[in-house]
Amino acid sequence: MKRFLEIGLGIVTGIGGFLEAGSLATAAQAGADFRFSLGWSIALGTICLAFLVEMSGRLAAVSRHTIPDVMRERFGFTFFVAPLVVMQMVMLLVLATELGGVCLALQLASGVAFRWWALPVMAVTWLLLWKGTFGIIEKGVSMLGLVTLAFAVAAWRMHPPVHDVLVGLVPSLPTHDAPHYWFIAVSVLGASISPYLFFFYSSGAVEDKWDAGYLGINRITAGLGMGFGGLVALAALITAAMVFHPAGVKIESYEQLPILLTSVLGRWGFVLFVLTLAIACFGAALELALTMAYTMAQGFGWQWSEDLPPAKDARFSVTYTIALVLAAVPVALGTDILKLTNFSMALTAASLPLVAVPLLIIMNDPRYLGDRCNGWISNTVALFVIALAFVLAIVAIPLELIGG
Amino acid sequence: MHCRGRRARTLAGTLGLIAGCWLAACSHPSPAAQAAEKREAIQSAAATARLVVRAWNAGDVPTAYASRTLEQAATRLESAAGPGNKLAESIVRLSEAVQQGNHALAAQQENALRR
Repeated sequence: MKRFLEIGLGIVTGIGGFLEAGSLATAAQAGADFRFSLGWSIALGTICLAFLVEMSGRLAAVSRHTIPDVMRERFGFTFFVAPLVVMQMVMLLVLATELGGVCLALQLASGVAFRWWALPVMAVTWLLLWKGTFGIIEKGVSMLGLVTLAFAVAAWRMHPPVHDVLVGLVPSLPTHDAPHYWFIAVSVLGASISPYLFFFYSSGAVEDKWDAGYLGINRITAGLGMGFGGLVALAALITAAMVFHPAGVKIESYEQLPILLTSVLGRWGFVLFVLTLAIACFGAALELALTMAYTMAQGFGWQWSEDLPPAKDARFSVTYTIALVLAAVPVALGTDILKLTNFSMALTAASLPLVAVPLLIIMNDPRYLGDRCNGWISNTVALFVIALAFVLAIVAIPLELIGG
Repeated sequence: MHCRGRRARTLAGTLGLIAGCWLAACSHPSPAAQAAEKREAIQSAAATARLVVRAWNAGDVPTAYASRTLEQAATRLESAAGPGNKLAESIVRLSEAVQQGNHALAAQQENALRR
């Protein structure tokens, strides 16, 4: 019974935690600009993410180590510095977009400009990290994140053409505006295959004291949780394809997005959108700030745990405090959050090889995984992710300039 | 030797691809592409304004939200089409009607946008 509860909770966490500012904005842009044609990028990103999450959970359950921890130990600190610096910079940008997303939700609800919310939102996020436990942050916020299912309800009620949606799941070449098509595809993949997600997952597994007995739960949670989460992102694409594409609306700011839900759910649509944006981005901001602290602490061998009082892991707590303060600056300065989102998603995609290559090597090292090393399916997917990651790394920035 | 030559060609091809991507990124868009972009921006701003006003008239979105989004649409339209654009002026009037809570005027302006 306990195992079923844990599986259920894991799946709920996966669904509730999947959608955030990046995945919502990029999915909606994909639907508005290219109807269902970019559905494949969400499906591909979700499959890759599910495999990577499963691997990071397996590594944590078998070796009791997290990814950054093993990367430093296996390849040495000199090697580890490059991914550490790049990942921290990318995560800081993504953290800024998530804080910005919460602030925008508050702007929609109150009418007060989003930049004025930067400090209060940063303070509340910090307070929850300072006072809260890992369980509250992981499960509590993700449970609230189920409000994102509003997009699934909206997509269902619109009765989208099923055949066209299914055709969109097959990768296709663009019929118009190729640079923008590929830029959005890269952004969707960057939003889906975010290294912070599997860094956080492996740290969470260690926080929850997983052992080899959790391998089954890990596999189901990674597969179903990420799978259903991907469906919510696909639902956002479908609503945008049904509402914005026929009208010729191009998404140029987050303020346009509530119309996606009000056109189907009326007044409740607006309320649900504000809640979706606020909770999804708040949850992601908590996870990102924690992941930045986890990565630093695990990389430098500091004491770390969200369940410890801050006095017991001072450097870990100071790291997320500094990260939150720095991330709040661009929001307080009134930076365009949608532009920041697209930029950070492209950079996330570009930074993926730095994590994917070491992860593949680690996942085939019996010193850490014993007889639980990757099989041929996981290795094939990991190799595919690496090839994809290198292509994304090469084209992400030029596409940002041409089609972004 | 043969293998080294193939590797060199592969490397040159990859570098060529990267250079091509970057050169394309740094080049200016053609006048036709610029015109299409401008047309799309104008259409998008007008469509956004119509959808927002329709939602506001139905009581689905608050006035502050509708007014701010309309102002943004007008600003975007002006930056795409240049100052003094008639459509942008219509959207500004629409935003004023929304701020005053004048549903009749807003509906009238929305009809004008449709034309």
